[in-house]
Amino acid sequence: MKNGHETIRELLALAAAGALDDQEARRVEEHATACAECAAELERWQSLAGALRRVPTPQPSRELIARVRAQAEWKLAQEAERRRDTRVMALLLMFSWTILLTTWPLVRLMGGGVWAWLDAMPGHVWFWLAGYTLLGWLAAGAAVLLGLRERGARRTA
Amino acid sequence: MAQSELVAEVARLRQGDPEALGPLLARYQNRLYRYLLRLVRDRATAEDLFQQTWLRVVEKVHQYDALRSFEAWLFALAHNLAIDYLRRYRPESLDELQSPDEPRNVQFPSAGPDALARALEQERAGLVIEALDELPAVYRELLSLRFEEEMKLAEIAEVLDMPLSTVKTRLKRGLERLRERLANIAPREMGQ
Ligand SMILES: [Zn+2]
Repeated sequence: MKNGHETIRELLALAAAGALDDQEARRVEEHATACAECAAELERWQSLAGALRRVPTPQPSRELIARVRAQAEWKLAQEAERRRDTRVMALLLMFSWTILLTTWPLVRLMGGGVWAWLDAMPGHVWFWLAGYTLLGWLAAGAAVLLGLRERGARRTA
Repeated sequence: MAQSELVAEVARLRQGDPEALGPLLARYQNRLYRYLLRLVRDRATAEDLFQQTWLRVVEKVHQYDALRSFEAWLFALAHNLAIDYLRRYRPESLDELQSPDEPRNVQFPSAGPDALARALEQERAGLVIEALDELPAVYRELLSLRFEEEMKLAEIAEVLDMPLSTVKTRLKRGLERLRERLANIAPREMGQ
């Protein structure tokens, strides 16, 4: 029998814990009104559940809270810096790749062919080209430095 | 507790606003600390894990899925740190994690229900804590989450990363074990 005494008895602890689904809870309730033994047992479980709910709450000390807050704030700032570094690094890398990839089209544009360009290039064009390439290298170098710092920070964290 | 306030605090923390930390910490400090203390049973370790948990929150908050319960997420972080700690330093306390669900013959010894009733009637909270402390970690944790933290079973399942049916089985087992212990302790404590 589905609502039998033994079946219900097995549900009493969970009933007191409020851990039954609605249907089960109703079955327990109905049975307990008719069965004194189960009603008494349910009451025992309920008093145990009540005692568990009344166990005094230990409080963390103020010092602990202050310390944790300070450390978490410090870590938060660090995390923010890390994320910003990552963004800057990505930008720098993109920039240096752009420069690298546009060097050749620029050379074509300015000189009309590599041979003509090598022969007849005036000094100031060399100068600008060197500066342009250097910019790409600098950006790449900065990205690498940021990356290394990031790795160092993660190792010491 | 205003749910919208909590959502706003978490959102601010995700943006890296340090001002959001205070309210969040205040909201959960007592409950989280109590939970950890129940699980590891000594203050120093609970404090250490409490600290680690909040650092982990700051570190991982951008991974938190805002559609899910922040509370369950927070307690799950604490749970994982505590379990790692117990596994490393007190593996014996986790023994029952392996096969805690074997059916046992539960019986409430000699003194039976009456000793329990007397113990509880006297509002001897110390007695309940003592009995709780003698339980294996799995049950202590579960009972604390259900009765002290008043979490729903689904939330507990999320924190412990286990199926709802297992949560139910273990909750029942935990209550039975606690009652057994109480009935054992009570006569002893009451000078019988
Ligand atoms: Zn019955």
